[in-house]
Amino acid sequence: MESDIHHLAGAEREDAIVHVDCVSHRYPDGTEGIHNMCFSVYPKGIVTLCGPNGAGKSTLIEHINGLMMPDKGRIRVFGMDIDKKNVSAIRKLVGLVFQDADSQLFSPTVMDDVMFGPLNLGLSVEEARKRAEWALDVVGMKETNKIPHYLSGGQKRLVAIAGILAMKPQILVVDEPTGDLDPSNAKRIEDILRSLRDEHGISVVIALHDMDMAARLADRVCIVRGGSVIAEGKPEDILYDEKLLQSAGLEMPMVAKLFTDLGLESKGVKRPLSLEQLTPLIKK
Amino acid sequence: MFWVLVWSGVAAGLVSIALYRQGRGQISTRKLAIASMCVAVGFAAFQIEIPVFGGVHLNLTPLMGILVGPALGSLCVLTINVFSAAIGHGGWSMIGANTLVNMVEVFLGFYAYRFLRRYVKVERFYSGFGAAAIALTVSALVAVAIVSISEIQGSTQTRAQTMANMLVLAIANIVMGLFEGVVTGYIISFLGKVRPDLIGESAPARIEGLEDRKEVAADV
Amino acid sequence: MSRKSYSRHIPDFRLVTHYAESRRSLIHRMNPWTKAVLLVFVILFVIIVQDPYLLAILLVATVAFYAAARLPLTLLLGWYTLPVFFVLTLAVLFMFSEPGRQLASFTLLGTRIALTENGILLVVNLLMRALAAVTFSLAFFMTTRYTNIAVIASKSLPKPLDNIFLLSYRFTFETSDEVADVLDAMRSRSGGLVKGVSRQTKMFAGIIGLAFVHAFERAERIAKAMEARGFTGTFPMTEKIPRMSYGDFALIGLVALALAIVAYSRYFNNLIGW
Repeated sequence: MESDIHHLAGAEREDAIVHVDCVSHRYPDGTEGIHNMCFSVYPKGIVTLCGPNGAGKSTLIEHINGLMMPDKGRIRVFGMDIDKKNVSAIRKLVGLVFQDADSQLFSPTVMDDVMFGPLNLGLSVEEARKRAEWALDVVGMKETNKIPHYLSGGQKRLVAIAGILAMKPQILVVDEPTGDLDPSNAKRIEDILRSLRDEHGISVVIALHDMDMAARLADRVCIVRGGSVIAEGKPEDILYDEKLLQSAGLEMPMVAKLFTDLGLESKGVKRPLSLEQLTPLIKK
Repeated sequence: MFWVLVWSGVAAGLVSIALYRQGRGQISTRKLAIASMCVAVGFAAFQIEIPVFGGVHLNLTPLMGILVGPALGSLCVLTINVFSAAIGHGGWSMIGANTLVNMVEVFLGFYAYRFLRRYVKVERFYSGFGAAAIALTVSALVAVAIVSISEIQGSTQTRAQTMANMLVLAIANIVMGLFEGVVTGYIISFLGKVRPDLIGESAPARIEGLEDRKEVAADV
Repeated sequence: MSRKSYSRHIPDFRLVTHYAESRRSLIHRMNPWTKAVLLVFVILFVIIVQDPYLLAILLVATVAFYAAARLPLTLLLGWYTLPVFFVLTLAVLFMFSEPGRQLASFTLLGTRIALTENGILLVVNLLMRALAAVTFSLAFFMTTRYTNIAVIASKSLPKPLDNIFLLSYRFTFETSDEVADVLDAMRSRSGGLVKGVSRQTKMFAGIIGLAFVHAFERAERIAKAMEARGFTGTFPMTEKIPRMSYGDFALIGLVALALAIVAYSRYFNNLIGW
């Protein structure tokens, strides 16, 4: 099967809305966060950054939002090169949801917290409230007057996402969205991310090391190792390349392992990316 | 009433200087978050009763001075005093006097630590111990002076008698200050191993805004 | 994460906020500025009033205000431990050296020490002052929503003190939990049974040090999260406090008049048989 894997990120498509162009960043203690990182985001798609802890995923996504500035290279967001002067404009376009939801929720009530972003954008209190109500409705969070401190882990994650959504970004960047959640909350988050792409036209970038989730969600997969993207392509190509994944310290998704181990691979058979796609093939 | 206004005025003056040194009200988000966390941790740490000598509560103000510097530390102790007054530890009318005393602790904690560490080249535990002990001893004497000058409300004792009583309390506070010095020394040693950048030593690990960190540490 | 209060003797800001955000008594609906002004008046009363009967009336009035807000009195009694402890540690010596009619005396290390009527009165007065002030301030915080406190802080404190105050008020929730969790984790491994002053001290120093490290790292993450959501140094205010009504002004006027009479009696001419 012809591989559609680019082992180094290839030429930029013309419709890229974010282009990270050979960016390097070294931390003050000398550790290299990212090195010659090349990465793109395209409209209305979900791209996953897959890599183990310390690969450089979080460093990369903090660059996209302007929280970190590159030492070398440049980052273009909607045609603008990110620099200190336009960082507020960038943050209106690129929303970042951190891995630790507790670090994001610091207001006394859920509604206040979700309104924080829109108010900082300059919206009036009424407009900010409407945006917050909309965002909380999108994520299905009804307890808007609760104190965030007393929410469950899943609810905190939903409120954190709503807080960014209320800023109406064009790109949503999420770091480990389901890391410490139970299966039902994790599924809820996945459904929300999918609906953001499908119903709201928002491009989503997800940093994760859960390959099963990458298989279910991604339109494009990028493998990150040692501070660089070492491969990118369609999930049915990347996630079935066991050698590639292992070289990056990752495992094949369960679906891919089962499909391969059961010897179901053959010409004309589309590689499944979820159990729902795999089950009919097994039954056949 | 007169002395409440005097001590509040002096404290307000010193806080204004601290605010000015923080860049006339402009403070980076990082410094704001760190100062606020310091207040919250200092306040929470007060709730810990160390089960020695019948139960000891700590000030941690010299430690705060070492961590965030005297200017930001002064703002932190003022905030802690407001929270403390709200819950009954210290009175609202004593915020001015308490803040003055705590500012002495923060100020001396910072400078004594720097002096001991950089110029006398004493190791971390003893620098922390020395800084806290010096700061808390001087502040205990400052408290004696403040209360002796303004006297206890409702008391008919002479100033000399008030001062004598306060000196007894000061001696008790100085002894507790020595204990807190030991605790501070252990904390500084611990921080030196885990996050030396927090006490202004060596490069930090993976922290954005090193320039901010240096500002916070060397907040003169 | 821990949800319980670490101690029933120390006010828990999470509980304070819970009562402020979830209850709707008459006092809760009172204008926050009115309550803030009354708090200032209570503090002034506490400074100015000397007469024990007036102090007793003040204490009863503040407890009545607290009770009118339908706040739990048993909670308040537990929280009185702190101011009582604070006053006693300060006043214990003064109790025995205050001149006046002796009630009891004993010899200590060759020195005659006498407990006098004025000494007891001094402590009782100091206690009533402390308890009146803390009762009203707790009632204020437990009946005023955070967003209103934010408005009051932003209008009455200079920058960045207002932001430090507001953000640290929020952070006390997390740090109280963190400290309690670390202590629980320690106790679950029988840490509380560690013998020896040195080991005990070192262990608690480690707990406090760890709390500071976690706090700093969390603060750095929160700062990033705030900046990622467009924060530029000023917390946006989501509420406006309505203007005080005539009733509010009347109440403040009455209390101000009482304060004026008391102050005049104290400092100038005894109007009320001081």
